[in-house]
Amino acid sequence: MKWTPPRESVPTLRLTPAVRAIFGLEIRSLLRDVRTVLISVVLPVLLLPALFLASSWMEDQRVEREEARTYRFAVTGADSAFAASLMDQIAAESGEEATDRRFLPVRTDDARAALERALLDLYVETLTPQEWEAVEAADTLNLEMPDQYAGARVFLIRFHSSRTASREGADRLREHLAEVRTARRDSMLVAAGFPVDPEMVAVVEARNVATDQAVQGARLGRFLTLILMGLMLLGASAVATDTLAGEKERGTLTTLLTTAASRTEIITGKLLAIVAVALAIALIQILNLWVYLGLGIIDAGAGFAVTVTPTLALSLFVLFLPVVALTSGVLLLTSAHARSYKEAQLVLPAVILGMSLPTLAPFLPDLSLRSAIMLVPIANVAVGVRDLLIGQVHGPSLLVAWLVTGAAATWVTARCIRALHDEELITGDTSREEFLGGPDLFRKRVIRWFIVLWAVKVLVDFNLPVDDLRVAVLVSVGIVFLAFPLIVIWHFRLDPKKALALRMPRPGVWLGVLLGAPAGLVAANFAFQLMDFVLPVPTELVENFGQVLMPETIPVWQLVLFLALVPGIVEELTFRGVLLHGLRRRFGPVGLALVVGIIFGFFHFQIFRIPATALLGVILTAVTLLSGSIFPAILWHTLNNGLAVYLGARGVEFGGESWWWAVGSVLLLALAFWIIWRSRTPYPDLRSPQPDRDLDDRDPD
Amino acid sequence: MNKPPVRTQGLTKVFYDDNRGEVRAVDQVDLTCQKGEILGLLGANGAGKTTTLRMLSTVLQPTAGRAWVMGHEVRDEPERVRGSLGFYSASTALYPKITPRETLRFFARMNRYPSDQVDDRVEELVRRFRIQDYADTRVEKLSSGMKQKVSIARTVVHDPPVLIFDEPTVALDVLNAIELRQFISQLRGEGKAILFSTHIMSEAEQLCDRIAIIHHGEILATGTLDELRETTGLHYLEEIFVRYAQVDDPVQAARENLR
Amino acid sequence: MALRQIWTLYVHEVRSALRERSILVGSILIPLVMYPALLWAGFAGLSFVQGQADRLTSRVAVHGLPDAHRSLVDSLEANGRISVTEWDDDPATGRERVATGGLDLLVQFREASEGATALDDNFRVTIYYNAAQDRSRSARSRVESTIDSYRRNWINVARQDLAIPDPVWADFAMARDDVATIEESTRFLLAMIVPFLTLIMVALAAFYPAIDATAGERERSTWETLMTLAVPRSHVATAKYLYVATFGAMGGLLNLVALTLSLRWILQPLAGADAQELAQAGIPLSTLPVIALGTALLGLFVAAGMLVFAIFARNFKEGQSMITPFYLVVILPAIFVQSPDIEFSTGLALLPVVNVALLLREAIMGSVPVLPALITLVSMAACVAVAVIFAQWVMRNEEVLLGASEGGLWSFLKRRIGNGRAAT
Repeated sequence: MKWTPPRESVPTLRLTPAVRAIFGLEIRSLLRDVRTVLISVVLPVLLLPALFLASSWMEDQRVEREEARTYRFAVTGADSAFAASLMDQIAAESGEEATDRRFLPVRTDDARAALERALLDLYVETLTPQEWEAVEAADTLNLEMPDQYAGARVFLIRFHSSRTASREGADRLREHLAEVRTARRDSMLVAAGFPVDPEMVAVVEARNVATDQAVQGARLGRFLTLILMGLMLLGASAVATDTLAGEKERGTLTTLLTTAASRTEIITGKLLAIVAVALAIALIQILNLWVYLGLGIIDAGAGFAVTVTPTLALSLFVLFLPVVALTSGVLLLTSAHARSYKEAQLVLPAVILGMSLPTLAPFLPDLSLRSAIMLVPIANVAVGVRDLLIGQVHGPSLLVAWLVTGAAATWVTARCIRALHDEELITGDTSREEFLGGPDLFRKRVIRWFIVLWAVKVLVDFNLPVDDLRVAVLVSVGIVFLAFPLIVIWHFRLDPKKALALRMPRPGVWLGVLLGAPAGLVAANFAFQLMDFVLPVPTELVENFGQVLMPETIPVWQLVLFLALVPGIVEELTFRGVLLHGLRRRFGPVGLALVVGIIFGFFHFQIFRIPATALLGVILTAVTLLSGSIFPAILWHTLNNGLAVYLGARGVEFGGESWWWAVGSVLLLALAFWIIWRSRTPYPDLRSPQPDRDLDDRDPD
Repeated sequence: MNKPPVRTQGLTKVFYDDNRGEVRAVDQVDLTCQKGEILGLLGANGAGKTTTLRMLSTVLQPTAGRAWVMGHEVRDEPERVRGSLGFYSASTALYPKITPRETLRFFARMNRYPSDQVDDRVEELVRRFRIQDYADTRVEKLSSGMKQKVSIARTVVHDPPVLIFDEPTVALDVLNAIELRQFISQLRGEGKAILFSTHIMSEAEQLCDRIAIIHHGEILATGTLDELRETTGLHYLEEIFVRYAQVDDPVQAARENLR
Repeated sequence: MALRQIWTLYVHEVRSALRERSILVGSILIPLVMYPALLWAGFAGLSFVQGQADRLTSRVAVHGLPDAHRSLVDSLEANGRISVTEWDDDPATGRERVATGGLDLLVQFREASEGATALDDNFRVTIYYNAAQDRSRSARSRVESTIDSYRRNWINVARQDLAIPDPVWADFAMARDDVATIEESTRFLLAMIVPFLTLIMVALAAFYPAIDATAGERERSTWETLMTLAVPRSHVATAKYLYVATFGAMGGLLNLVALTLSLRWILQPLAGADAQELAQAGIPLSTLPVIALGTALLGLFVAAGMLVFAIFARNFKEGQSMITPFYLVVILPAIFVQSPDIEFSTGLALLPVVNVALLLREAIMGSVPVLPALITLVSMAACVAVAVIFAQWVMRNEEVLLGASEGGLWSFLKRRIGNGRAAT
């Protein structure tokens, strides 16, 4: 439905009487809703310490059990007498602590069977070097022996990993044996005339120079934002879902919208109410925890020893403000887009998950605020909070982070105000598309269908046997991406020619594609390297991926067929076919190229492949939009993959890190696009730049 | 120049309907309503009454055409428009958790009533509508008759010059409906401009100074009851309505076939 | 006849539920889509972190390095991710730099302590690090392991000079062999997570249907229509009950299916090179009947409990807040059952919900102890029966039936018991 932007869509924070009235109404309504207060305030107040208590009880139990645990062992093999004496030594030498007397010898004739039947927790099989070689040759264990031990006798500790006592015993035994071995070696050295106690050679001692405050701050800073976000969501979500979605359900929204208050005032008042509730509940819970900590009911874990000065508290408060505003805004937006309380509740879990995810950023080790994370709302503040608590703040980055999250909050608020102008959302009418189905409905549902396709693709990829690349590609690419467009076309009764853009382009386009494809490959390769600066990728991962993709057993022509031609055709049908067709009226041409490209990127699951494939996706979408046809994109895609496979199989390195390659490829790409532009036949039925106002033109005024 | 408080010109609303595709719910509607006048919008369900009134109260945006309330254009000055009208319908519910007194105070503030006079105004309405007994009981505990009184008081709390009643009697019992109608006449006496939509013929006959017959989104006739009687030669409003609605039917059907 | 009526009502409920979007999403879509999405996010995050760590260069300053040990710096630099500078200034300023984060480590070489000087060129090292900084801590471990291998190398050379032969020096090597098969490891892992997830999913999947079957009817004002039908009210209640239980159990089973589909990927890091063998890993087929039975019991129990609470709700919101406490109480025990050390004793078998979770765990591990299993069955059946009888008793009340009852289960009980006392 057409929507002309209202002049009141930029949120401004003015506390007009109407804003205050709405704020008061919301708070009053919440406080009088006993059941909601019970669930979102009282229940957590009781539950939170209960959880802490329970988990610490569980931990105590675990430790107690672990301390009481004994490990029943046996010794077998040629050198069993020697091993047994070592075991005695382990028990005797460190006998001061009860924990170390826990290896109990058990007599058994068949240790293996006893281990299987849980009569033993583990046994040490002593092997002569020859026996070990035999075991190694049989290659059943996947074990490698460091060179320094070549020719030594081997103690093979056999255990059963699905039993706690066995797993734990094996770990401990290994440690103890290593200690014993070191001690034996030391005495060997001394006996042979080594001048000093070997333990005194090159002694390393580590000293921490950070203050306790900083260390505790680092610990607390990791999860402070996460906890706060959790508490805020806990309290604010009930108010937020009730406020707009609930009003629609009860019919009070119309009453509200016919008052003189502007939409901006309504949203501002409601947002402030949610912010207040979120803050209040977070505060209550923190006080609650603090009281329990003070009373000693909960064990004060590490991280609570940070002294909070007024300045620190104030800085934290200021830092968290945009986070609170953004969280509240997202909740309100969710509520605004739901037709009823129930609908709002339904999407709430996804919203909660989505909002909590960025708060995990400080858990990433070695993540500095002076990186791309600075531009990710919430995550940036979370990292900033951690830095603040450590006491090492990079001012400019923190300011940028604060502004970015604040801007996101403002944007979300503006979206809420827009939602109050959306007539379909206000009146709750079902749209014509939903009733009739068909092509128009597809335009509405296209994103949803692609989400499901994505999940299906993940599941298929996860469950494919990796044995044969050809079969894997045929199923996970060929069948999935061929079946999807066919199902969509059948289900929404689309016209295949239109949906798949099966039109002939003008001949000049082909020349552009032939020039552009190699240039695009180099450019994408370069983009991949650029990306590596921002988002470094484990090299191991890339190498493994290459090995999976380029097995040496398959002839090159087959690789080209399965990795270039098949994806080239079917992926285009899916993305530049039905996806582009479905989205064509939702964005302008530039937006389309970006959105289709990025969605295409996300279908290449490995995170390091996403940017490069997204770039290819953007290029291919642009080609389709310019030529009005899918065939040039198919050719381009096939050429791109084919070249990559061929060069990869030949071991040709291209591009490297030379800037000349980058500049040259971009220039060539520009030339290719210029040629395509010259012989363009634009994609039909795109959204016109201006919303059509044909009815307004007939205004009789 | 004596501008009428409510005026629409070529007001049109197009939306998508489940069955019929693109529908002109309201098509080129021209209306005026003077001070101290009750204009009745008479039409069957789905004729476009509610859509027209929702556009006047700026809940919906007109697809084309214009409308002015107290000289303010609905698209240019939506807040001023809403500030000068009171909107009452079966779907304008009350907040369940607050009391009638709080409700009135809330809506007075929302409608920019001078804040120093809010309390006096609220007390005045509490007395006038005789809701003293339950003015401090939560709305969710009131009976439907009590709720109705609060709802009407809510509509006029900011003393608006224009009042819109969208099928107000639809869910009321006989006694409550009579009381409401009496109150609307009273408001006319105070010089308010009142738009009143209904599909009940007797109600329109009884209450309205002028009647606009609306059918399939179009105004088929406007006039006082006597004028309508004169033009059609029929006496009962029901007959007059059926005449207008049916005369157009073949044309309407043809138009629909063309779509 | 009665069965047929119940069947008709049941089919009616299920059919409308399957056309309800919220129920489809909550009971079917979420269990199916959750794992792929979570897995992907997990792997993407993992490779991001790994990439970050790979790329990070530790900034290490070395102070007072003895000339004899120049090669130590070479082996530090050979790491590739350690950049070493010589620190000639006052070590105190160097420590300051480490404290403010300008430097990751200060490695200060000292004379060997007394009694250790007999070895030529022996030294001591103090590593100043910043425990508040991740990168400083990882720098510390990188440097420490390099120095450690340098030290071992040094001693090894000395050992060769002292003519201790290789086999004597090696003494003995150690290797470990896990005799558990991939299948057993898989079962172990599954036994940790499946009962927990099944319980949560059953409760989640029954949640919306329970509200839909009660408050939903009232919101749509179809409740009275239903009450005027020519069928006994107990049949209506039974049909609704079965409907909620079906959806709960179905959610649990679908979750298992989805989990099995995603299993290989979860287990891959565990299995390492034996990825091929994973194809056979999974929940043993022989235990499926037990798992199905357990899930069904859970479904029946959860459905009965939820309906008792939800019957008082007049709209969705009320229903939700009435059920939530019960929901929490039901899924709470699941947290404890995850611990592998809790034994499935006859005592625990009496405890509803917990016993089913334990039963599921044992079944996945491959052995079902007969006595606790039987006790579980009886205990759950008794609970279900009590809940159903209670629900029927509540439903007999007219106020409840007409939706005129104020408040939830709690205030209803207070009123009923209060009245009972007043009457006698």
